[in-house]
Amino acid sequence: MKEKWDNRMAFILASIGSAIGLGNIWRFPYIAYRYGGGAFLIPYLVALFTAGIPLLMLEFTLGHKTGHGAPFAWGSYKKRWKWLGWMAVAIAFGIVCYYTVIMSWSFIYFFHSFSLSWGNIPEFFFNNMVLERSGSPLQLGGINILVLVFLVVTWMAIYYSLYNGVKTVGKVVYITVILPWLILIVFIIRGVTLPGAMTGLGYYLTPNFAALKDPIVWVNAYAQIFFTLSVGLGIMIAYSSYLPRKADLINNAFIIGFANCFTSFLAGIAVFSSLGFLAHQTGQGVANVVASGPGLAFVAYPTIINMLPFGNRVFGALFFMMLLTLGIDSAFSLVESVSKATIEQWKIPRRTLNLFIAGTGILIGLIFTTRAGIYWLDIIDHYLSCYGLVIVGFFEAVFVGYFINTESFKSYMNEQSEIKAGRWWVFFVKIVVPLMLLGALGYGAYQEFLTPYEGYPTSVLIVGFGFLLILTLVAIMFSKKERRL
Amino acid sequence: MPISAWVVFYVTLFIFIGGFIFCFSKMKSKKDE
Repeated sequence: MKEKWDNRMAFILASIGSAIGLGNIWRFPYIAYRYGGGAFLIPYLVALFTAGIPLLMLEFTLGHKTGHGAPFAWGSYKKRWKWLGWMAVAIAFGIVCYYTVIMSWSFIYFFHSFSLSWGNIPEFFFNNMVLERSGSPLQLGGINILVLVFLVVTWMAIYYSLYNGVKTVGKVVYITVILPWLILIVFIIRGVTLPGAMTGLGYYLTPNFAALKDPIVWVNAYAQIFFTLSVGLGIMIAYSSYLPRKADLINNAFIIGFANCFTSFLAGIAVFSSLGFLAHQTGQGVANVVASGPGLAFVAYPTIINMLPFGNRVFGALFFMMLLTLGIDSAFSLVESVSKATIEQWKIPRRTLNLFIAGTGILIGLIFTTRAGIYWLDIIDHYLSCYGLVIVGFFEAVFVGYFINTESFKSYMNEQSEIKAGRWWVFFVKIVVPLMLLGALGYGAYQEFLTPYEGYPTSVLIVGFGFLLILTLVAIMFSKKERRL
Repeated sequence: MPISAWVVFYVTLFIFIGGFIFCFSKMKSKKDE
């Protein structure tokens, strides 16, 4: 019998859970601060309406109409387009290999938070005691056993979350989506009631409208929307293939887009009020303590937790619990994209396949558990997100906009939905999405040309780019394989 | 926090909450089930 979601809420929560991840907490607030503060919300919202939601609508319709995962959804239009689906799936697999390692760090920190083990030296603790970080990407320095142990634990959590496919997912997401929201609210209340919070929020929300004249700000807003909504990874196609025949595709896309961006906005309030407090306590300017990425989660936040007037251990445990629950539903959605496509291709039983995916994920993840793991994680993430994902999104919009009957695609979506897609949707898919994604791609490549990414040696960057190339070749190879009946 | 930041805060809140109210008002409760 064909798998189905238990109800509409399970689908909405699972899609929201997939979209909301660590990036909402540690990337959006920083990007907003850097590119115009409160004024950044204008290009961000424009990008949500003109690219994010139209692409979500596209992926939901594709998955629902064909009932397939990404490769066979594209293949049902033209057999030679299967590569695009496999490429999305391959990138999803590449991402989950390192995403699970970040979750492993979060597990380690969750346990350390009960004793505040990072003491007064959070940066030293993160680099030297948790990661045991080497001096360069080329000094692997062997595997960090503790990171590996928690990597296995993370994969076990993913395996059991997908045990009965979307039936289990539909239940797990009630915890993994709602719990981090509740914790985020706790952090907002705690953050805004700390001394210095309003100064921090001033940095986050005060608009610098002059920044809007800079095209780079717009490119970054589109890139941020694109990365945050889990499009281009085959996830939304796979998830919507499990919807019942009658499903409001457009309204679902709007709800998921709003929920994701609203969470990012709220996360910015929690993060910047806390950074304002950190600046206040250390006597520095907010600009000096601003952080993003792992530096925010594993260095700045532990420092802030140390300085809280009471309940430090509780807030520490809550913060890392939030990261874990935010991460797990994004991680298993990536695996679901892979397993849906593989089951359709080779008819392998789901649990056997998920065990195999977990085993392969751990094996490939070994590189990220080494003492140089954080460097490789950064490099691979850069190539998969800034190039791989953007290329998939670009071709998705071009294929639907120019190579299939866009009107009939739109009519199918409208038959299902209360809110109707008009000519605006066709315009966004044909013109805005490809142009902005090309802009993001061109800007990234230009930056790369000016200075090598993060100053890494060229040889190392070639390996990173090679990883993307291998995934692309695997995708093309899989697309040539005949489906097992 | 300057007044312009408060304006940004309330306008953004209004857009999101308005968006949610609009979407949920268009939701036919049993349609998908």
